[in-house]
Amino acid sequence: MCDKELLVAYVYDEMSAADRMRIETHLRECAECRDEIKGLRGARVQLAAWTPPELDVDFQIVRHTRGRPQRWWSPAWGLAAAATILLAAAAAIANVQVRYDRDGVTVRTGWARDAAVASAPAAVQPLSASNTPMDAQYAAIDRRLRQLESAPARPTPAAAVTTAGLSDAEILRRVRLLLAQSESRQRSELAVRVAQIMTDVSRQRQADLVQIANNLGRLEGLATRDRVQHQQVMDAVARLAQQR
Amino acid sequence: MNVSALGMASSDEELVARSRGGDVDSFNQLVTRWERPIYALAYRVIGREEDARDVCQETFLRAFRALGGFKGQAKFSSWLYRITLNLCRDWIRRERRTPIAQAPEGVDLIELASESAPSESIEELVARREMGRAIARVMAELPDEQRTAIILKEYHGLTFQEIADLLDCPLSTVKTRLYQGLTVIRRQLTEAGVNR
Repeated sequence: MCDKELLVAYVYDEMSAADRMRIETHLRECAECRDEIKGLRGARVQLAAWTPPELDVDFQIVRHTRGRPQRWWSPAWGLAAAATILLAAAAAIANVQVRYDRDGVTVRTGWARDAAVASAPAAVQPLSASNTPMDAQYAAIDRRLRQLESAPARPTPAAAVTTAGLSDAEILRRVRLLLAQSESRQRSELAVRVAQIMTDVSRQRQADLVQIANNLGRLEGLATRDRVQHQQVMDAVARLAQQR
Repeated sequence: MNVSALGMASSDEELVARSRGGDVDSFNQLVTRWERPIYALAYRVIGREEDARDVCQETFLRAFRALGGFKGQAKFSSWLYRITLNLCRDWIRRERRTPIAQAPEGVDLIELASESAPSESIEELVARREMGRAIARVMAELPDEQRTAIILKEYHGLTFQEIADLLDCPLSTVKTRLYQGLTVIRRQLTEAGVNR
């Protein structure tokens, strides 16, 4: 019996000339090894029939602005978009209003305002400053801010120095500008994320449509086969009836 | 002047060097060049289309992140194969199951016709598809090491030595695994009556 490793090397034609000569000499005399070689080659031919399905694996590495490559299809995008929409919706429902004026920074929600303008006092209890824990906290923050404002002047950090000497109107204008820029940036990011979600949905939809088409074709094939079989049975019955 | 503009394809080594210099486009050329072989390797090892696609994408992401550590001591393709096989091994360990032979049950004749070679009839094509399915089943039952050796040799054309390096085993072991694997495939196909 020949060396199995040598047989494999011969089948794959990956051996030295000396080894090839040696095994070919052996094969002329050994029918068992000739069969073995034939079987191994036959298996190789059959292996060629196994092809992986064609799949769209077209993707690219995209350098993120923070330098770390990420999948464009990452679910994180979907989560981020969902979180943004949720926050926007919550803000709209709560009617959050941030105001900066002579009284300092004021954060108000729509619930408080609605309560304030409610025209049916019997049905809606007007909210006072201490009616809810939230209002109590606002009141505490307000008190703390007033304390800080009335405290003696102390050395200020560098960031604060830049606002010194600015009028309230100028500060208000700058804050509004910053808010507008932030809002614009968030809108752009949201648009990008929504577009990505739409792309994902579109791809999935196309894949689903292909799957549905395949399934319909398969069902149609089955129905046709059944119809043909039924027809064959009917023909057979008719032939039998005629023979009788 | 850009080499690709002249219609001359850059070698893997050139693209790797440019990628290491921060050229993402060069790396994407490598992705385009190697994504199908890598997907095919992953599919044949783990047997699931979707998971194979994930492994393929993860392979390139890992390669991109680890590009700084790739010093060119091996071929880029061998390095990718190694990453892919490691991910496949992780998948098999994580899923705690053997690869499956996943193949669509129905046969879409129109789809088949589009795949056929000009000289191949639909009947021959259907037979080839059936044979492919039988091969997938037999391969799924082989031990991992035999299956991997056969895949790397038959479908990726690696030399015995390259397979030995990838699988960290002696050359003689690779040949033995190939011999045993091919012998089992031959026997099982004969038993299944699909031997030609």
